[in-house]
Amino acid sequence: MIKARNRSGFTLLEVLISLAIMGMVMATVMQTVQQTRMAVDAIHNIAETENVGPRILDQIRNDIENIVVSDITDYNLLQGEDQTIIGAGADKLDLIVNRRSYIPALSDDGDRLLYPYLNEVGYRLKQNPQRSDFLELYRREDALIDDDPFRDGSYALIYDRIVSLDIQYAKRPDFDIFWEDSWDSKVEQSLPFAIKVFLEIEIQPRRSIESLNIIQANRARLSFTDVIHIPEEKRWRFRHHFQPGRLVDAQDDSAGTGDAISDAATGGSGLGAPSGSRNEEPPKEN
Amino acid sequence: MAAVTLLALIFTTVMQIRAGAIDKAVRGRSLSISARLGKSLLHQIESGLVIDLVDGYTGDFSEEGFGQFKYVVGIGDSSQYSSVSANDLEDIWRDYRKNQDEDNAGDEDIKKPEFTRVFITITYPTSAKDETEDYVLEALVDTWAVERDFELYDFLWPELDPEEIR
Repeated sequence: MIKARNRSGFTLLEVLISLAIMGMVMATVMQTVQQTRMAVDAIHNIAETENVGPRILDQIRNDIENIVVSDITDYNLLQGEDQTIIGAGADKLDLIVNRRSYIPALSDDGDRLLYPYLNEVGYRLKQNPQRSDFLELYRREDALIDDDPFRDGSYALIYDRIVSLDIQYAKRPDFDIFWEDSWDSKVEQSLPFAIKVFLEIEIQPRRSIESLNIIQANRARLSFTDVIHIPEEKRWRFRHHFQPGRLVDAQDDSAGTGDAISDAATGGSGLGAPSGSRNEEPPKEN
Repeated sequence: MAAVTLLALIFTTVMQIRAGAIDKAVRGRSLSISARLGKSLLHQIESGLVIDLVDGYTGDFSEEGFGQFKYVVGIGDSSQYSSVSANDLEDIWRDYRKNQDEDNAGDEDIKKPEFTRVFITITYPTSAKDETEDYVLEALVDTWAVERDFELYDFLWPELDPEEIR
């Protein structure tokens, strides 16, 4: 009698089913890994375009809003020039700000690094040496104020893929506001009412730029516009050279003139307010 | 069979986690863009560049490249304008202005306040289809800028002769 052999192992059908399941699992895992990689690239692209631009504008805004008007001996405080490089807007801006410097300066004895709170600041663009169709944006910083506040200092690269930077200036608020392409506070003897900054940048895209599109976010080039309003009190003080030191000097020098200035000083809500107008009631509503 | 069921459960969980992560990423990005666009609009209001703010209006940020982000802007706080469609908005503002005029009628001595509260409500998309969320921004802005009252501006900040002052 022939005994049936005790066969252990899998049937062909079992092996095929397990292979199919393994194949499905592997395919899903690979797809997930691929999608994760593409998501990382897309997030890089989104973060670059949508965050770099606002960060640059914030930097310019912080500088302009911290413009110094006291202790300035003349109107040489802000200078904006209209320029183009390779046909793209590459405007220049220089001003004096009351912000802690990013770049340290050596103390007189040369032993310590100082971060002064009074600095000359500027923005400059030059052609990108690697990619000629882009501009590089630099921030100039020069500690304290020297005879030529719009030159010299140290330059820090902010971004190297700028398409254009246009800065415009409005003299005063109006129904039909007129934007000028340049501004020299020494010529105008005043600060602009508002400064409009138009910035266009393009990022260095990762390889899967077209691969994942989260609500149409994955774009390489974006433009940003911001309007920076210089506080009226600051403009007024600068325009009228209304400074504590000058006030005291004027009172000492001439009683008559001093009274006039003193009236102007005490009439407002504080030093620097326009002559009496801040304490007066605004006109009646029509 | 048990192994297949287990696998199915694991896959379902992984896919749910993935969908949740994408949803959070989209919401985070949308909120960040809404805040930036809202601030940008607020800066324009501060500079007296936004027309017809008193009557209020709706719009979108397609000029900035974000057409899916829509806004409602107006005077006051945003609560009275919440949950209204663009079609209802004009009627609500008309009622609001009418009530204001009625409250102020006969009061000759009424003065303009130095600041006026403005609000911007930005509606942004989420990852779920046809689902949106709101981001609300409120701020006190100079009245002359909100109403574009440049006579008031000149009154507050008169142009004097610097030489004369000195």
